[in-house]
Order: sequence, then structure tokens, then C-alpha cells
Amino acid sequence: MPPIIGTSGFVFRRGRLTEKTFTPRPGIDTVWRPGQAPGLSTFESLSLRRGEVAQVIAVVLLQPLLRAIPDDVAAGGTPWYVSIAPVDAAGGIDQQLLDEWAATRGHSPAHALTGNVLQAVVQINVRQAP
Amino acid sequence: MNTAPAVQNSSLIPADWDQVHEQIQATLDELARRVCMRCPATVVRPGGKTAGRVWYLSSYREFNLTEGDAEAEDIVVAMTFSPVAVCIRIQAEVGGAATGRTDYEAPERFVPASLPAVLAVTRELGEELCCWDEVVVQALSERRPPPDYRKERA
Repeated sequence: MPPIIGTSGFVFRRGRLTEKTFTPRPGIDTVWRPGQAPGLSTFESLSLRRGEVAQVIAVVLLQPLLRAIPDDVAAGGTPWYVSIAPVDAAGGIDQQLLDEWAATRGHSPAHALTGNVLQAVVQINVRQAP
Repeated sequence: MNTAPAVQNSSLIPADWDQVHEQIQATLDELARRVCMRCPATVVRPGGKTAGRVWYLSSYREFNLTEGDAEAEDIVVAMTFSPVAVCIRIQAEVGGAATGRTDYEAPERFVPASLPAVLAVTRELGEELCCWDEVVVQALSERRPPPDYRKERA
């Protein structure tokens, strides 16, 4: 299946327009992996099966507190994979804030960072071109 | 891709969308009742809504067979309103929260950007949506595991 090639500066988040979809999972998305920063999982390129939808995020619209961090494939990361995570003043992952963010998943009200990512969505319910 | 907000031109104000959301949630209450009649083990999460730069409102309800969604993704029933030229596009669907898979969707509707028109079509779609209990139960029964984004090769 040919991938949708992401235009530079845009990433795809698979799933629907719910708050949970735009909140990292505690204990899973908050953990470092080789070549991969923790954070909300997105892809620069994504293959969608028939009927599947994804949301498009403009990286430039993310609040300064958030950063899109591509995987380091040479270090074991996944091609096209981009984590969206809060960073501190030095530009490193703000693990405490990330943990706080993830801890709100499924709770109301949603964390402000969830709202920030939702506000960066520029195309909704995209599908694979036939 | 344009990053300018597209929802600034709506003639509906936030209070109008609150009214639309409430109407949808009342419909989803009825759907949830029917789902639970068919499958009493269903966990119905509280109603939710989102809004953003390119959509006015997505009003939804999530269903699962467990309190969490680690084993199987939530099944979402949603109605979403977004601008298309001078109209509002209304999408109503059942699908997986994490996989993005669509289990069922109503044909898209396009209505003038006025509250009475939006409420009228929302009511129509709501009557249809109430009958999607079988689709929701079927989707729940599949127990679809959420994709492991952290390992997935796109």
C-alpha cells in the first residue's frame, strides 16, 4: 500500500477527534526507547487501510512548550515516527510535565497540552487516497 | 496545506454549539441505553467534545468492555461539524478511537451555517444514530487492540 507522504511540517495522528486520542498513554508513551523520545505518537508518513482515518497536525502551530521530535533511525528509532512532547527551557523533554499530561488521559477536564495539540490540527478525518 | 483557522466565519456562536452538543448527547444517551440492553457489560464513558481550527464541534461518546482501553480500543460514536465553503459539513460515524477504523458512517450532510438548520439535521441524524446499537456492539465484540505506535513501522 503506498504511504501518504507527509508534507514537511505536518504529521499524522491516527484515530478520532477525541481528547484521549490526543493525550499520551501513561507508562507507554512516557517512556524512552532506543532512538525514540517519549510523547504523543505521530507519523510524517502513514499508511491507512480503507475506511481508516487520521488527523493532520501542523507542527508550526504547536505551542512553544511542545516540540515534535523525529526518531533517530540510526539509533533504533522508527522511520517517519515523530513524538510530540513538552520540553523544558534547555530543550530537553520535560518528563514531569509529560507524566502529568499523560496522567490526565481519560479524565475531565483535559490537560491544556491536549487542547494545544488539538488546536494544531489543520485537516480532519483524512483517508487514504483511493 | 493551509494553516489559517477556517472556523472564524461561522455565524454560530459558542453557545449555539453547546446547544448542538447537548442535543447530540441526549441522542447518545439513548444509543448507550440500547447498547447496554444488548450488551450489559458495556462501559459507557462520559460524553465528550472537542473543537479546533478546522472544525466547530466533535461531540462523541466512547464505549468499551473494560474500564481501560489498553486491551481493546474504545469504540467512538461521533458527530462532527466542519466548515465547507459557506456550508457546514456534518459527519456521523462509529469507529475505533485509536486505529481510526470506521465501522459505520452516515452519508455526509451539508447544511447552511445557521443554528436552526444545524439542529434540524442533527435531529434527523440523531434518529438514525440511535439505531446504531448493533454496529457498536459488533465493534466492541471484536476487541481490537490499539496499535502499538511505539513499535509500529508506518
